[in-house]
Amino acid sequence: MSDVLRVVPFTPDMLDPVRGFDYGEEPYQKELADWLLNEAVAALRRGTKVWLYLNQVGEFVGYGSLGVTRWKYPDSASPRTELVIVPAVALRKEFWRKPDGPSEERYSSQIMRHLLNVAAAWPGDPPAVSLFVHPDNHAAIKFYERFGFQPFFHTYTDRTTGIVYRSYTRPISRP
Amino acid sequence: MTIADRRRSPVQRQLEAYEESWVHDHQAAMACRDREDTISVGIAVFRLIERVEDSWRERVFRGTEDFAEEDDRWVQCLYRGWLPVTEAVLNEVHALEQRFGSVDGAAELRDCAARARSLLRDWQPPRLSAAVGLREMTLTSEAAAELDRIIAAGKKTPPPLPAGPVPQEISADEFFALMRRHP
Repeated sequence: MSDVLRVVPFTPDMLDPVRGFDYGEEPYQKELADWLLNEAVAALRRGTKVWLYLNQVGEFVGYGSLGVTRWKYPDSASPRTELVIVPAVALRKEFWRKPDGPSEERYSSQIMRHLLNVAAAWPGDPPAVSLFVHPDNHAAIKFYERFGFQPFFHTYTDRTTGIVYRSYTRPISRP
Repeated sequence: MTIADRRRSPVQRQLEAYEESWVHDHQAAMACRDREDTISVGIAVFRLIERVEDSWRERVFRGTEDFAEEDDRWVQCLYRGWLPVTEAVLNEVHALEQRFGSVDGAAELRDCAARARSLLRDWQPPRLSAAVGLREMTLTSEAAAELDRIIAAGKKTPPPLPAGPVPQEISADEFFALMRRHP
């Protein structure tokens, strides 16, 4: 029987129980640990939704989030178009590639499935869900592609770090 | 926005009008109904300041405006200017309540004052979103065309939601109970 995750909408009073967990050693993985602890509350106040995931045993395995981005396209004079975005999603290191068994039952797949289900019901019927990924995060890129995210010619250069993030998008399928 | 611009800003003028109206009404020892008008103005000005603050926080968070200490001080000053006027109004309202029973809007104005005190006590300046996806951005024409193509293809042949188990929602109480078992 699969280990179906449990999910709870994150609220600021849940910060303490989720401190001190390891999401990996790479700088972009540490950034994801920081995001939940230092940025998620501000993002909540700006309309982002954040969820925490626990396994059947009750261990906290990771978090996911969905928010709205406003892109001006096709040019800077265009009206802003709202798209659903995955600002941050992370799995604790000890749960990478867990549980054993089919890949569709892994915690990471369950989290992404949950996010895509919520995106499909997002108010206003936005046409796509998008995300930005650190260019060195090859495992994440492969994972997103498996879930139907497609790269497109849009990058974002962080002014403070100089990192050029790659963007991926996936049309939202609705029942 | 310069300091001079800020002094001329609509919200600043509303705040000054609120203060002037209070001083004038107070001097004229107006009746309960007139005080209710002052309360309505106080609530409206508070909501306006909240909207100004929220809009500024949104711009900084989305990266369309850089954070500036000067802006931060100015927004706090709006609350600091509004609060003493409101406290004076509420002091007088208390006396009216004792005399007339209730005064329309008094409870809401008290809530606004409590909110203003709490905001100032726990003030956190806004920050640029660390998640770059939440920042506002402009797409190049090539990126826009590619995005349109992907969306159009998705409308024609929607990508299926991948099969498999979907997480089940639990309550916050259940979450805390589980986390106590697995700290």
